[in-house]
Amino acid sequence: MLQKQKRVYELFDHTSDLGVIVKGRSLVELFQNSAVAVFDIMSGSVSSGNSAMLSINLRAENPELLLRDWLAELIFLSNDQKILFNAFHFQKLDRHSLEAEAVGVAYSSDYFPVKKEIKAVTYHQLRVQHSKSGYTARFILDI
Amino acid sequence: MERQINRIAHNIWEIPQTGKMRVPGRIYASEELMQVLRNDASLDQIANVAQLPGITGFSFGMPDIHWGYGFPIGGVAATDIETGVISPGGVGYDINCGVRLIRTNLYADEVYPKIKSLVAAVFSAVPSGVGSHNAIKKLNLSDIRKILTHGAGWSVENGFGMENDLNFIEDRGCLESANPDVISPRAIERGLSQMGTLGSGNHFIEISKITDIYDDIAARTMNLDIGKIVIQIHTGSRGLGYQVCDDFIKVTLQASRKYDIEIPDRQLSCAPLTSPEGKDYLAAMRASANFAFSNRQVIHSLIEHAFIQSFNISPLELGFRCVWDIAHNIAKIEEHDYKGIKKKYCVHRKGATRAFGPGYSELPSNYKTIGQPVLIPGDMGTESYVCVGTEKAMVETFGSSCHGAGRLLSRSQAKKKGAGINLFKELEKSGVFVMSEEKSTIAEEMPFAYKNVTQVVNTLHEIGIIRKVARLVPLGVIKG
Repeated sequence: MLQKQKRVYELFDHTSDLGVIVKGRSLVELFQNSAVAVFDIMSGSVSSGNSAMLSINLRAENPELLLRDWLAELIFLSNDQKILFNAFHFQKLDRHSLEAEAVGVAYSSDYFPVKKEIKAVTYHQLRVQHSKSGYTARFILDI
Repeated sequence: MERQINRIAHNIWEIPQTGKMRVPGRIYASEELMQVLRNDASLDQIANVAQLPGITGFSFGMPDIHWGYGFPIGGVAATDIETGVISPGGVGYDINCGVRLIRTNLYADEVYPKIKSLVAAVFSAVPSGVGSHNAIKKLNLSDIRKILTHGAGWSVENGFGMENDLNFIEDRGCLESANPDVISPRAIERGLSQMGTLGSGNHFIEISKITDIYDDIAARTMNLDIGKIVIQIHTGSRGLGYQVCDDFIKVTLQASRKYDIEIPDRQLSCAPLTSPEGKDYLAAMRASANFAFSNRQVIHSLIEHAFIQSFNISPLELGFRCVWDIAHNIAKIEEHDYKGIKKKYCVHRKGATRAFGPGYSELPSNYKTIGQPVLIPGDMGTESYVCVGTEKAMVETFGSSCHGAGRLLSRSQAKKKGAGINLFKELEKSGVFVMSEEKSTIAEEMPFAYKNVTQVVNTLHEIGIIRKVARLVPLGVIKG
């Protein structure tokens, strides 16, 4: 089941690829919204349903690299396990590590909701910034 | 902020060496193309690439240059193999994305009336679009190790095409010293079901007719005649290549720190060519490139069968032969004579094509006298060009040329421009029948999203970096 939901991200122009800006009131919300953005771009909608769940544990040097690795991991697992993720629950998230569960719906060639292939989450102009109003991330997807 | 750019000669511009740049930037562009480039982020990327250790001569931008990530698309950088680095970002995620040109005995007059059913047959034979898979039986680990080491040779050994096809692929479709052992299980897993698939994005199969010949001798040597049908395949190493690049950027980020290499952009992370990290990436990249050569060879064979069935003719009557197959996302160790000194360099071509001139040992004997074929696809509504490399390219650009028209508009700009227009119908009106698994990507790939390929090609033709041989006009297109 796919449904449109209020966008939690904006796209910015990049000549060959796709630039994304995401905001969150907290680091957890930033990571959740970034993941929602990626799967919204992949499918054109957000799926509902929770027929599949995977655990993800990651460590990185800083929040920027952690965010990139988080999104890259989700994209890999989505391709590999054929799951369109729609909800992300964090048991732990700090500047250097995360423990999370990604929940979604399984798909197959009979039910194939992926419309756009994301080759990679690039490091080019990758940013995570913290201000009084919360966090902002900026990343470029290779498509 | 507008960068300082100096006009050096007709169609040649230079970004002066400033700050941490080790060499100047050199851009090949007509006045008109330069108008578009003046405020483009790709100029900053040329300057960033110029900071890589061991870079020699210039950080180059070809006329199809546009903003990429790390390297610009249309960027070329040659690094000294003793003092220089290799950067996964200088090759990109789609390792050995490239183009194959196939000629046939068929004439456009006999093909055009059947173009819709022919495109449908090819569309059905070659899985395309996001997640395309299962073109052939799923590979096992033994198969994939052979593919990673033998490249297109594996495809031919397994019944996909003919031995002679290998003579007309860059490096005979197999880069030596490829090592499957440095490729991650994740990358292998991603490759297992994707052999023989086109993928999505700007990948395509195009059935075209030859409308113009500019160089009779070169055209005859490549067996290209006016009115004949040719096919272009544009794809690469699929998910396997993406994963290898992703894996090794992590390695080279660490290596950049370990070897005290200052990089202006994390996507330009790199390792010395003499380091274990650099050698491992080179071996993994070569293996991925072999996967891509093998992929295009399998697709070649799948299309040939679709043509044979569609026209009910024999392979001999069809005359389906590889004219040339080039890589345009790659790093290669090549010997070049730069300023009178013959040395080996690692030539990074990110959205750029090798363009060796006549006489070089890397060329098959048939093409030694004319130079290496250079395939420059345009967008799906206009035209493409077959050219050849020249001695001037060897002297000026480390034997490199442009690789396509180059994007002009971002994907969202292109979609905005295409809103409300039935793009399939518009293309059909202009004589091009298009099929695509994903309709929404068509707007992103429309002619108006790209630079004028004729301007791009003429920029290099006018100054002798390449020489035009033939012009191809599309009749049918399968977009990934």
